[in-house]
Amino acid sequence: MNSVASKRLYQEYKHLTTDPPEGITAGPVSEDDLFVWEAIIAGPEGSPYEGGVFPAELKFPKDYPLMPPTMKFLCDLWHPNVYTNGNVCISILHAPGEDPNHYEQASERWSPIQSVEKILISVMSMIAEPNDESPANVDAARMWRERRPEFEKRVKADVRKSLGL
Amino acid sequence: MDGAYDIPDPTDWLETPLKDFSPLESALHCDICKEFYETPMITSCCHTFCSKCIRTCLSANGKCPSCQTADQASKLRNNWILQTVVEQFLAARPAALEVARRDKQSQEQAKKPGKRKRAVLDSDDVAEVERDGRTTRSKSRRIAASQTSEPETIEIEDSDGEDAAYSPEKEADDGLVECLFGCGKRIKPDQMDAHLDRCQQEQEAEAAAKRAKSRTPISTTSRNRPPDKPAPERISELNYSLLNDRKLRLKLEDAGIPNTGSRQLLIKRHTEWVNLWNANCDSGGKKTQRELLRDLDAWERTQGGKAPVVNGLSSTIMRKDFDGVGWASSNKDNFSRLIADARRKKSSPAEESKEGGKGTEVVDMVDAEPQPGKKLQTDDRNGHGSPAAAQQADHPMENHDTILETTNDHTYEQDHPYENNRTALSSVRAKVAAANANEPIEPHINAGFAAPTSPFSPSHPNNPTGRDPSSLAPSGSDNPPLLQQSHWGQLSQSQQQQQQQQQQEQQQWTTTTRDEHLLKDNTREMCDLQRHHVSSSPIKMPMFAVPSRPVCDVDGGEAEK
Repeated sequence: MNSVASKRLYQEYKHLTTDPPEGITAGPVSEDDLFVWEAIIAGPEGSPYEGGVFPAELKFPKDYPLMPPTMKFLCDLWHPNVYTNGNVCISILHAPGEDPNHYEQASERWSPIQSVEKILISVMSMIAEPNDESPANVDAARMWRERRPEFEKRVKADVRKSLGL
Repeated sequence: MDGAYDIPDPTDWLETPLKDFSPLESALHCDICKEFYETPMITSCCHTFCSKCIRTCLSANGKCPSCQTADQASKLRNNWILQTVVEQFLAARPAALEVARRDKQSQEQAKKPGKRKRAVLDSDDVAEVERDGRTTRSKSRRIAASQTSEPETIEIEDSDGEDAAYSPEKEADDGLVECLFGCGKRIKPDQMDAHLDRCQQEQEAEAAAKRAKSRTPISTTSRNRPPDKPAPERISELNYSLLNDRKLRLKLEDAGIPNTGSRQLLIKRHTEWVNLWNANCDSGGKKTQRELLRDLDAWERTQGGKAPVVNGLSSTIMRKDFDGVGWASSNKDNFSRLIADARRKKSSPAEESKEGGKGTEVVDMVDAEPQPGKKLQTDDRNGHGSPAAAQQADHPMENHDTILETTNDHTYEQDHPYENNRTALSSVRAKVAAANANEPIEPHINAGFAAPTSPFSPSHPNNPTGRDPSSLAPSGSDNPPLLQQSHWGQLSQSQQQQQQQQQQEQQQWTTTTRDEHLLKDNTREMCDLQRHHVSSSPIKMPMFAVPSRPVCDVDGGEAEK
């Protein structure tokens, strides 16, 4: 017997396999365990991340879709909204309810009507347009705000390194 | 994945000419479960979700998932018209998808007088494609022709002309024609009409049978109106903060659901039960209480008290197709530790014999049953029952006691069903003491063990160290004396044995899943408690093993309504 969560994850997996959004690939690491996914996000065009390929791991809670998954990049990603350990900080991944700091709208946060596809698209646009108001990586945020050329240079160097160039 | 995962998906339409059906189908999906609406309910803010989905969400945070407006489950109302639309779409979907996917020949057939439609469910579509993959020469030519002539739209006239041109050639092949409905039979052309009628009926009956089992049953009686049968009454949510633990347990008992576990778990379980029950009421009471209890149990195993502690490890989610690789990898630490222990002790057998009674690898030897002569039997039995039972059947009693005591191991600590068996304990303790004192053990084992049927005649126990290395353990001649006592030789194979043991463990795990319980529930027999105690995991404790009140009574009352 399958839980609600695994049924829905399979549904999303099927959808993402047959009709993936551009620049995004995602699926369970093993079909035996639908609660751990790996996603690969291509660096958005026009951003310093262009050309890069960023693998990430998604872990789903057993009460998914009531609660959001967590997302963690498995590569080095110098970005204001990505912690140095790879964890992604984005409002769509925050559990439903009001933000205690009244910074995020409730509508921006996780809700069961969201999906893996929407998360990955959001993350992709977050990569292209960092939000430096609530940075996860303060150093990267400051560099992005104050020394943009240096930031871009560093990101491009990281991308080349990750591609083995 | 198994057939249960063969889910209709909007993307099914994308490769067909009917691409626009994809958004149409998406619109008929619940935003929460991403499946077709099942008993759609409309909220105060006019959003629609499956009954169970929205009830779960509202009980979690009391807000509409779409617009975050506060709402209450009691204000939900059935969206009957949407339910009908979904039902009718599901009924029409297979045929429509089939038409969209069909090659030229089938398209032409569909337009003939009588307009035979195939009623084939999605699960058949895959098979259908495979069958179509087996093309004849003439057919592949027709496919080639169809590919050129229908890039986007269905050009009916053209295809007619082309197809007609090919049909005589097809008959010339062997004079037989493959069934147009894809049943795989080859029929004479003049008998085709008769066959098609039969074939269609058969397939429709098949499809109807499947539809009845499908997720959203299509009932022709429930159109646009609530069912005639009075629905069971909804139960109200409880204000849990007003109830102390004892009253809460009583409430759960009254509801006929298990009342064990922490307070938090009790609340979660009751909430889930209320949601399941009320969602069933919304649908007009399609499910019996027994089915609802089964759903609750599924919840219990995935998200409730019996849920795996660690998220996302398949080895902890019980399934029929148990993931052996996952289990092996998740227990790798245990395995490697045991292997390391075994290696270490092998190199110093003297020490080993001293701590013999409690040593882990002794346990492993015992559990793994290295006696090849009886190996097969044991394995077979373990497929159906507990290893203890199998051993009991296979060995003389004295032997048995020895084995069982040593199973008290930290790796399989759940697996010590005989800890209360005083006879066994004392017998083994005596032997351990003897071993520690370096005395030869003169066991009762001998009598049973030297039985002529045994393929191995163990060396004389009075001479444990000086035995012939080749007699019992060809590859492990330096085995510690205690191991050589009986049939426990072959230390060097400990690694394999651990794996075999693991396999047995898995088999046992697999066979003691809930399914077995459901069977028991159905036959209204008490479940075999002993089996669960000896089994290896606490998760397997049956939820309904000892109902605090008979479930069947409640169900009987339900049926009379």
